[in-house]
Amino acid sequence: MLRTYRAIVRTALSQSMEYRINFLISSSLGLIIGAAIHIFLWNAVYDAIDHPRIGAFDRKAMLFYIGCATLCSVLTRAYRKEREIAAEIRSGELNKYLIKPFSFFGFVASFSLGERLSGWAFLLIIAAVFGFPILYAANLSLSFAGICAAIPFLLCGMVLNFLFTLIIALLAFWFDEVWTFQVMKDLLLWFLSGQVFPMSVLPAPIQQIAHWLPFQYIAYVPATLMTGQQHPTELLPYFPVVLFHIGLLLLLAHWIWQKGLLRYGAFGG
Amino acid sequence: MKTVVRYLRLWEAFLQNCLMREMEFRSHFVLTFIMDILWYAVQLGLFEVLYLHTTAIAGFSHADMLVFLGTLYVTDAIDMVLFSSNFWRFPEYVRTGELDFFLLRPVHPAFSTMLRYVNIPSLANLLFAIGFLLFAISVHPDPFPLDHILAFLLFLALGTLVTYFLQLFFAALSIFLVATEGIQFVFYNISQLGDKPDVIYHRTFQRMLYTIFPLALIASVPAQVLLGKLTMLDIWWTIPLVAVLLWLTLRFFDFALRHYASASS
Repeated sequence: MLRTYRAIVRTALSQSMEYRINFLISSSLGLIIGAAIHIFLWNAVYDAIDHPRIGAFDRKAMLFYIGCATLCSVLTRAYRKEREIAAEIRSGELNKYLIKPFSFFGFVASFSLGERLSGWAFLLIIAAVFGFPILYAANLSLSFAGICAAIPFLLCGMVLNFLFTLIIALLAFWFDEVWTFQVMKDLLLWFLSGQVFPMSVLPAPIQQIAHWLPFQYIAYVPATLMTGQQHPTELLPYFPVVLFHIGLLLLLAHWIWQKGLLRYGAFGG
Repeated sequence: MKTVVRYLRLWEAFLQNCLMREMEFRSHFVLTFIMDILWYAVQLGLFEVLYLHTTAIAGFSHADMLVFLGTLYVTDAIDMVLFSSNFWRFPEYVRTGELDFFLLRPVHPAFSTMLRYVNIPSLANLLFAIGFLLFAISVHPDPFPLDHILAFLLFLALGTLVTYFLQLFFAALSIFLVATEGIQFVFYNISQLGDKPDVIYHRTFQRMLYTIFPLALIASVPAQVLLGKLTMLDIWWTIPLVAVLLWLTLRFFDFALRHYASASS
């Protein structure tokens, strides 16, 4: 069975190369322009205040955080395959997966992994080309222990975003179009994941709620680890929490899939 | 004048056609409306978080920023109603050869391709955005003189023209690049620079946003004109600039069409 999924990963990897220019353009612009806008914005905030720190962040730490958080959110973003499922449900193309001797979830996960492998390679090259000269010029350094601790959280963030997108795509069993739900999800993640501000600058009661939600694992947690704002041991207790969120979303996705199949006419339209 | 009336009548027909289509998909109407409201909410939310820590950003007080956001919402809703859905369709016209049908019609394709589909749900968003702008003006501590309001309306119209020709330029590019949906993402990413007041950017960046990619003229300049931070004397030169850029974009669009080889070739 593993050999089947390995073949799916390889197929996805080669297919994603067809879209490499699109991917390169959208990812690099998303990363560079996204980071630039919020770096300028926070810089303007620090210009206006008469104290050097906002929470635990001085100007340099905040700008560094915004750069890393944008990179994390681009690394954990949703890809083509999980979005395409909605169109395949509506057109009846889903049939081709149902008659094959593998798990549908296994197929989508393997295909998405293949797409991400090429995506991550591109993104890390772009981040290195632009990031290292900036780090050197600004006399900043990434925390090696932090990066090692951020990797598992980044992988969890990637799985969370994958599951959010897949669950929304599966709603196509009931709704004619789900792209508006996908955009709403992207907007909520943009705001609640910590991509545009660290969660620690929010008022304490909102921070408390945010800690129990799954969104912060997409950008805030890995970015604070990478920049050394938080020590890995401080965030260790959150690892079971993120795994719990993943488990819960997996169960939800499976339940929606089972219910959806009962409604599925297999003729499209 | 006769041509203008003819084009206006044609647009009215487009509008009626889209209204009829929209009645068939009411859930689409509601979802699109909610989606845009959520976009407004997260933009507002970001600034609310920032103003927890400061009283001004690049000279914009909280009340000024509400006026800027109101202007941004209105310009975004105008774009959504008129151009955006057409722009997203354009590369598909090129890829499938559907552009041929637009070329056969006795109207300029820069009009028929970019204004064919009117996004009806966004009309509700436009009303909401106008309501928000009026609210922002009403809670602002300073008065808004009539000359500021008239200049604001002029620059709002100018900003709408900028929105149009920037998308037309990227649509024309897609003729050369055939089947690159990426061109829409390029525009989407670049246009985000206009979602914040231009005064937050570095001077060189700011100059670019007034000239090469005049995104500052879409929301930032009208808002600053309304707030009295910019006067006609400061930015009168953007009016001929927009006229020249619009003319150049139309020429570039025609040039691109001459290189359009249809889908079968």
